[in-house]
Amino acid sequence: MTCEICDYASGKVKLKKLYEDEEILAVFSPKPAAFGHAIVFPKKHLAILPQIPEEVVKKMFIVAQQLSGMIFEAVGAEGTNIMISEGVPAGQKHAHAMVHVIPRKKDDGLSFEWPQKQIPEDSMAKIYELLKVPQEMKVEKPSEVPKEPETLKKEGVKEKVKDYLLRQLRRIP
Amino acid sequence: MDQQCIFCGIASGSIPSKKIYEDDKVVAVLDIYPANPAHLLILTKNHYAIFNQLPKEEVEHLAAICKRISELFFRVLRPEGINFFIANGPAAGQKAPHMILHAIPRFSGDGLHFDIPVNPQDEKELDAFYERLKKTLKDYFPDVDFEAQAEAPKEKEGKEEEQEEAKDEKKNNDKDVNLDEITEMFS
Repeated sequence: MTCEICDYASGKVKLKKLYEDEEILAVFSPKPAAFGHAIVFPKKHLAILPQIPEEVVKKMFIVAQQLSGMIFEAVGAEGTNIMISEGVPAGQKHAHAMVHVIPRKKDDGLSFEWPQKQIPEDSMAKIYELLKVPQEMKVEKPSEVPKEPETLKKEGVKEKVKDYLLRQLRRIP
Repeated sequence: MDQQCIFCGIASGSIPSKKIYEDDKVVAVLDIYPANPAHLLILTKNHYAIFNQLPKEEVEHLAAICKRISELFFRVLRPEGINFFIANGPAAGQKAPHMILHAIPRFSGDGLHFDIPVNPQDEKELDAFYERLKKTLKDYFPDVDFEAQAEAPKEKEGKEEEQEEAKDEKKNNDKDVNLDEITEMFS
């Protein structure tokens, strides 16, 4: 089966690279929702988070966070969305997992808002009982501290980006 | 913790909520104004306005929780999909000054729209933008060769190991939801 995202990962389709290591790749999306839209994905063909090794998911999140800050500042955005869609009804287009980082501006024509649903109290209680299993879900402290990529240590740069983001956010009521 | 912030209150327990998961860093609670039934809010116990403020350790923790919530949903709720969503800033749809990772189970015909549209872009503008951004990228990621073609994932050498892994995966799938079902939806 051919997968468009696998072609990005293998370099068969050449795109503007934002990050790469052995396991993951980040590029500007060739099908962007907004200018500067980035995608971060595992190189291996894996569709959803449960299939991706935890260490790889962590790295995807770290890179998405870094890119979010960098691109936000560079495009002069007013916000960013970080999104993962799993499954066709959720809007996933390829059976290859990815994290989207989408710079946002007011009146950019995008909207990911939702109407609020009223859920009856007894249905809420049922859902709660159903989901409230998860002792097994506990995230154990990692037995070995993963090697910190040198690349993520640039605190100075990061702080600057953070400040910038915060300035933008003062408008939140 | 921010005394004024209701989500800090929910995370600390001073405001009651239906918690389905809690550890020292995060809680996951049922949203009382959900987009869909079982919509979860994953909140950090520390007060951060936006995702970008989270220290590395907490981002990694959130990633691990996200993976587990996805597993939990697919096993227990059997949705047809899930959206994970973070809004940074009002322009992105952020409503409260506390970083929230939304986990929204999806069903076809549920009336929600998280489809990411494709918009035209000026390639020349992007070229110029990329050249400018490269300086920052190189600061952040000095080990990455931005000029080189992306390299295909390396194949594992030990075939046996791979088979072993495949077996493990199969076992997991038998025990829980068949993840293949999800992948098959695309074909």
